[in-house]
Amino acid sequence: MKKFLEALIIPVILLIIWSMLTFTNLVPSYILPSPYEVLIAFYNLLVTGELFLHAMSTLSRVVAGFSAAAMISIPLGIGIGWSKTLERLFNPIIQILRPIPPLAWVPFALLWFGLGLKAEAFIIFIGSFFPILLNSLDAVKGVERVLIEAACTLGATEGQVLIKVVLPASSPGILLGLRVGFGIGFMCTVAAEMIAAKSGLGYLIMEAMRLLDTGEVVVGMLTIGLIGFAIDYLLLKVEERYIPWRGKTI
Amino acid sequence: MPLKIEGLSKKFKDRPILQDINLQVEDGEFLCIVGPSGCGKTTLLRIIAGLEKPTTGRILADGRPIKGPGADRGFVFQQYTLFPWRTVLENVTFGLELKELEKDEREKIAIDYLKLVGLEDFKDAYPYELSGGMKQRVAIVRALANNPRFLLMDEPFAALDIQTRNLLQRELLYIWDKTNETIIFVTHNVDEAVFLADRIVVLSARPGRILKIFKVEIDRIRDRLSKEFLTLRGEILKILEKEVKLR
Repeated sequence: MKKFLEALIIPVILLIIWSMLTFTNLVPSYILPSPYEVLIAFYNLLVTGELFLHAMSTLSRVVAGFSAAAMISIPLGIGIGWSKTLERLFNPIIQILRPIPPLAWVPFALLWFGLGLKAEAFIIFIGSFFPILLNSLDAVKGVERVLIEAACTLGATEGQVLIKVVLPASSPGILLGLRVGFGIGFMCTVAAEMIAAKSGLGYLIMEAMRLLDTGEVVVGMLTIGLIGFAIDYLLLKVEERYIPWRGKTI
Repeated sequence: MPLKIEGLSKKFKDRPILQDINLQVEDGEFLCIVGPSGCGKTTLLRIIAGLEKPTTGRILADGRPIKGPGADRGFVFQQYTLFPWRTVLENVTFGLELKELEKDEREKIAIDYLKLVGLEDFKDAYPYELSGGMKQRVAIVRALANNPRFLLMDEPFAALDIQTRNLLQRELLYIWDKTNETIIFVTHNVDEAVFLADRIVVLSARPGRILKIFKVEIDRIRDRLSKEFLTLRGEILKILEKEVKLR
């Protein structure tokens, strides 16, 4: 309970400062809306179902792009981390593609997929692909040599080492990659929606901005924050549940 | 002869680590290898395990040359090497799982071995919940569950405090007595070697050569303060001291 209250201190202080600034009209509402205006905007978006639709639209893109990225980058990362040959083959192209910001892919996303789910999903795919790939790769490379040797002296073949030692040993790193990848991918989707989409939370924010409805902008932003937080929390719980030994010394 | 090392030498790049090692290990023997640090004793053990290749020479296990690591040569490392994602029981059954034994059967074998070191109540614990001494007990039992032909031990008690170390030495002798294992045990601790071994191989400073092999004929459990114990310990220490000075 104490911990819970502690977690509330800073948000409550911020809320008070925010209220004081806006209710006194020290800051006009077209610069920063008051908490009350945000609540009104939230209520309106909720009853019309708009908020739900846009959130679902963003989420479905995230799920599509993120799962596609995970399905390709995890096996690829494990392969590159394990095999020197694969590393030599893939490393140059990864190093060249990796620094390109996902949003730089927007023109091709539009050319190849047009407006809609696929283009956005492609951007999130690019955004989450590299963090997941590199974390998986590092996790495999970071597996303690002596654990592999221990398995060998217990009679493990290379395949058995890979499945029974390397995979479980690198699972915390892979999961970390998923969390980072999701965070980046999620940010990319919203940013991409601002540029090229007809739905989604990013689109909602840009539309509200066009109408100077700052309350709605804040609602969009907070919804993004809360969804991101909820999914990260979920992944963290998965980690705690399935990797109880994570972070502990061996 | 169960294990025969013939004209073995090892170089890392151009640096010689081991030189002309010839050694035979008998069935059921407890052999200790001591030497100054960096003399290549761990490397020698790793070559027997198949984790490293010799530069020249060969090792025959029951007449067959060693090509790589295998379940017939169990290894206990100095570092903690339990799989952190597996419980104690799952760690011990690891080798049996690789051999595709039925679950019931492998767990029965594992429990029997855990009883040997008094850890059956910890079967569902994870390694991070165990003390250093317990981890090494499990590591020994994990190697034993495979019923290996040889048990290779690389300073397994070096990271433990002196009381735990002495306790585990006694437990190891008890296990050795029960299982009739052939044990090759590397240590830099002469006291430990004299306490445990049937024979002690003393290696020189790098590159490691065999300086002398001592047969220890003191009755077990050995009294560390007895005259014979101290005399032998002193003799070996004197040889090693000279080696360290030479460098």
